[in-house]
Amino acid sequence: MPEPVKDSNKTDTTSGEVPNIGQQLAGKYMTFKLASEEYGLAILRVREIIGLMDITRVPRTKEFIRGVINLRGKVIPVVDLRMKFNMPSTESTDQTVIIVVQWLVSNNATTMGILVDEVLEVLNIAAEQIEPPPELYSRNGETDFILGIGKADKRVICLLDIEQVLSKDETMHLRSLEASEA
Amino acid sequence: MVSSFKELIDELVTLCLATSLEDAGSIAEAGNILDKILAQDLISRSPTLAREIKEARNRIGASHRSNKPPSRKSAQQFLQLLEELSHSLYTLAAELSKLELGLPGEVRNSVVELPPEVDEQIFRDFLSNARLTLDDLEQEIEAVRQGSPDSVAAVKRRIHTLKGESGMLGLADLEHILHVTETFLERPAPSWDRADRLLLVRDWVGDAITAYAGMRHPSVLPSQIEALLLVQSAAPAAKPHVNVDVVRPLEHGAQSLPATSEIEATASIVESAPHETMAGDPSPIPMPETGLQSLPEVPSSKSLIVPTITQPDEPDTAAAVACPWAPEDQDLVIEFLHEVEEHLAAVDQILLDTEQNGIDAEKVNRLFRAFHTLKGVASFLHLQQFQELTHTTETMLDRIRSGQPIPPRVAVDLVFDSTTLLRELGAFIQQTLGTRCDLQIHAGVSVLTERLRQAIEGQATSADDFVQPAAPGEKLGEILVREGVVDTQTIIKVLETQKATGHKLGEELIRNSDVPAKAVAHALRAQQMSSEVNSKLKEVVKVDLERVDNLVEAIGELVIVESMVSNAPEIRQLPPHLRNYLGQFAKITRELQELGMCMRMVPVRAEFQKVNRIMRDLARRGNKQVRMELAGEGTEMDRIMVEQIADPLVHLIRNAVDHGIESAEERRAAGKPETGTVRLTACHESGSIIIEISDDGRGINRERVLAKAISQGIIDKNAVLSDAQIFDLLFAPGFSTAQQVTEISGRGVGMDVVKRNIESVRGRIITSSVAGKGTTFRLVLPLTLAIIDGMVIRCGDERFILPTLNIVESLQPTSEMLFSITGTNEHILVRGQTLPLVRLNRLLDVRGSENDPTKALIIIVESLRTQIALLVDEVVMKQQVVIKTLNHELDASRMFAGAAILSNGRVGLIVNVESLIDASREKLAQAADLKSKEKSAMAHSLN
Repeated sequence: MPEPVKDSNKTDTTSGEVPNIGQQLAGKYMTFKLASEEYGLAILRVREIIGLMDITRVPRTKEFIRGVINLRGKVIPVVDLRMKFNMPSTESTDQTVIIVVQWLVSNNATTMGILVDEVLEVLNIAAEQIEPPPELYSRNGETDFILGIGKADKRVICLLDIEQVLSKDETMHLRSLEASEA
Repeated sequence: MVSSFKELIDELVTLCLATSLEDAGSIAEAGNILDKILAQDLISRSPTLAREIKEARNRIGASHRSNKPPSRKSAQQFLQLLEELSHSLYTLAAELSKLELGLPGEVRNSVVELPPEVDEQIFRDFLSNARLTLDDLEQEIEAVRQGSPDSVAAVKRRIHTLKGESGMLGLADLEHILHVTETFLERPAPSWDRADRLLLVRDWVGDAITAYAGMRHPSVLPSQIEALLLVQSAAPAAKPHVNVDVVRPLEHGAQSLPATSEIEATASIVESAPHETMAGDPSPIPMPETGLQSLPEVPSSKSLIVPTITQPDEPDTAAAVACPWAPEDQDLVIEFLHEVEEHLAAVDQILLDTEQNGIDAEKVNRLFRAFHTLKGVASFLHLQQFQELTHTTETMLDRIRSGQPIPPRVAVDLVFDSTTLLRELGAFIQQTLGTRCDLQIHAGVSVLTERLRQAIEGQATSADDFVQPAAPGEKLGEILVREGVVDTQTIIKVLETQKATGHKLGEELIRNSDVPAKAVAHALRAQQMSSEVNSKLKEVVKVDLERVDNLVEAIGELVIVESMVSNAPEIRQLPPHLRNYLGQFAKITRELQELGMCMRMVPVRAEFQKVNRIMRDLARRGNKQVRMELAGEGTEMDRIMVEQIADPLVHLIRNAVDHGIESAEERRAAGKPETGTVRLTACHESGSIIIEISDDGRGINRERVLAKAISQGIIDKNAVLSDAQIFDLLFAPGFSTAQQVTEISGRGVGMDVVKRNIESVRGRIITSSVAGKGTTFRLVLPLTLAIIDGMVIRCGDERFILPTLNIVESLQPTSEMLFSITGTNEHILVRGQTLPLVRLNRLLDVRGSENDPTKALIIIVESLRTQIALLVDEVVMKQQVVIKTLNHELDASRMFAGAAILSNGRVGLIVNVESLIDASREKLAQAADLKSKEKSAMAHSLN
């Protein structure tokens, strides 16, 4: 399955008919589930998947930060994506896992865990399978962390820009605070 | 470009000075030079100056055309005009050379290019090695300042090696400067001057290395440093300090920009200096080449030192003069001889003390007084040689007292020799007394006075005999016996008496005149050298810092896992021998942890020396006499902490010198010694590192601090503050009591920095001060940054760590202790002290914790002298934890100092007590706010 996809990717590049965003985003994604929705993370960002462990709550921090965990001696934050996307929270199941992601910010590695309902698979998404994020929602800033929408086997996969989830959420956070106080 | 421009200016100046423009030819010549200057592109940078030069040129032209020899008056006018012009031109040239630094590609390539055969890695290795070398170099330069001849050789060796390496790597600038420095070291110079300039070179090389690391050229042109090295030493000016003072950047860090401009300024001073001395010497500005050419004229160091060593004995040993005193004076002479013996014994004592503990002003003063008294009496009794010798010795001591840096070892040796001679003279006098013969003349006197004079004139006499280092651990007596000064029997005998008297062996030997004082001093020195030699033998391995950090981190994890295993409940069911193994495992783990911590530890010596240097500069600038005392330089601290305290130390020292120590007149008026003392000490004390900076200055003026704080609105007018709280005000941002802002301090920024830096390494500052007596700042620092002692507390289901440093006490409150103010503000009364009660669960939104204080636990915590009573459920355990930082986004409230891994493997958050107190204050304010709002709402609804 992956091979033909890759080939089509190449031919598309030469034809130049596919929108730019598809070419930028084409590649392997780790997909996971939140409620009934499917999301994808660029595979190069994912370091490992660990089972749910004790999470230490951090008082007075943002709501969507579940807390911190001890990852073999390193303390890393865990983000509850359900909270982040304003979805109702549920009890954790034996499918619930933490995906550890890592990226570089000005040469410093940032590591964090993402709490998700279930990990699905590693999927190759070709350029023509990717569409830009829906414009209707992007105006209020809520889709800043969505890179694009991938379609595969009639499934719709929301491709996440994980770097934006933790760093560029100040405005969102403030907005939610205002909402809760009003 | 600029240099050719400068050459023209020099030509002009030389011409003015050489001819005074009194004949037509020289005026025409001046006109020509002005033309040449006008033809330079660079002059267009300053249109005003160009216009002035043109005017001058026209006037000269007019006078020339009139074809009359110029009148004296007009010649003088021209001269003045040209001098003014050349002055402006020099300024312009200085500015241009500043610009030149930024001119890309014209003079210097902005990027360093390595020769093709040089490997990048070798280059990097060289740079990091060079940096280490610089640290060693700094220490050696300090030794040079002390006048140790070995250290000059050591510095030379280092510079030579560096030069060779930089030459190989094609770093021409660096190689050149090091070469010039080597040449500079060949020449004789007073040791302080030498040290000052070497420091200058060291700073420049440091900058250069940093610049090279970024593949840039050093920002300060090597020619400027070179000029500083060469020009002044060729002709030691009346005020040799001036240039050095200006150049040394005030900030200890290598801030290249201000440093550049300062050196720039000096360079221009240096370059403009020659026109005073140039009358007979038409050579242009001492640019590199000329500086080197002028070298051979300066006598080499050898020719200066050799005569002092090989000076032949004067042949007048047998000469004699008539007995100069009348018989009735004989009693006086006998009395005088007793006095001599007394004074010389005292002098010996002081000298021995100096050998061991170093010289200080007080000792020099005492020596001076002794010789002065002797001189007075000797001249009264017409003891000419005696008087001559005491007088010269006294002069030398006076020079030392007034700050002339005669190397202490040389001075001590000279004084020793002087006492020996005086004793011999005394013996001569005694002989003469009985026989009424003529008084013999001692040949040694003239030799010694000559040596003394040389020392006075600043030619460092290397009279230091060769001292063979003693074998490690060799005792004083053993050395003396080995050198054949004394036999074993005497030593044993003296050791017996020593037991009774409690004196030191050396003192005892001299007291019994078994051994000359000088021999004892030599033996002591040999002993000292052996310990120095010993310490040099220590071998070191250079390791990449990152590796050390990784190792330390891995050990940290091991410690955590070990405690997880050891504390697991299942362990208790294990058979005893397995638990024994675990015990050993735990022990080794802890050892490993300590070793790991040690690897990051460095002595504070380098930092102290830097401070010492800064202090000397500050004292010079502030025109104050300050002596620095250092102690405990060997105390080791975490590397990062040493970096963190660097700034605070500088600020505190500045504060001490600028605000603390008074001027000499003030001090005299207050009945204190004119020279102020600043003490900098480091030591370990009950698990902390203590660094103390104390001065014996005027102390902190309580009233002025208060008044200033009130006027600046830092505190309320009616506030009643304790001494400690008042001293704390000094650290408030923007606070300064200095009546005038000096270049050095007074802007009120420094102390703020001190506080912030010290707190960032979890340290505390304790200030104490007595008006008129001095001020002491005590920095209490944790041993290491990575680990803290913490109390693990439980609140609901959650665990937090409180740093033990912040905990005052914990107690179980009774209901009588609790009370509330205005309904909401809970307080607790502990032994008559009222403290606000803060519920941790409310502050941190913890659910399911105990709400009844009498069933919970109170922990009194303190930060910055504020105490609160913290309500928690229980104390779980005491634990050492490795701190892991939390990133800002995670802990936006800054409520936590970090996180740590608890023995159960979970993460525990370390509470930042200071922000906890702040947060509780806010919460109280909010509550009060809410209440008043409710009240007004009630009032509204009632209306």
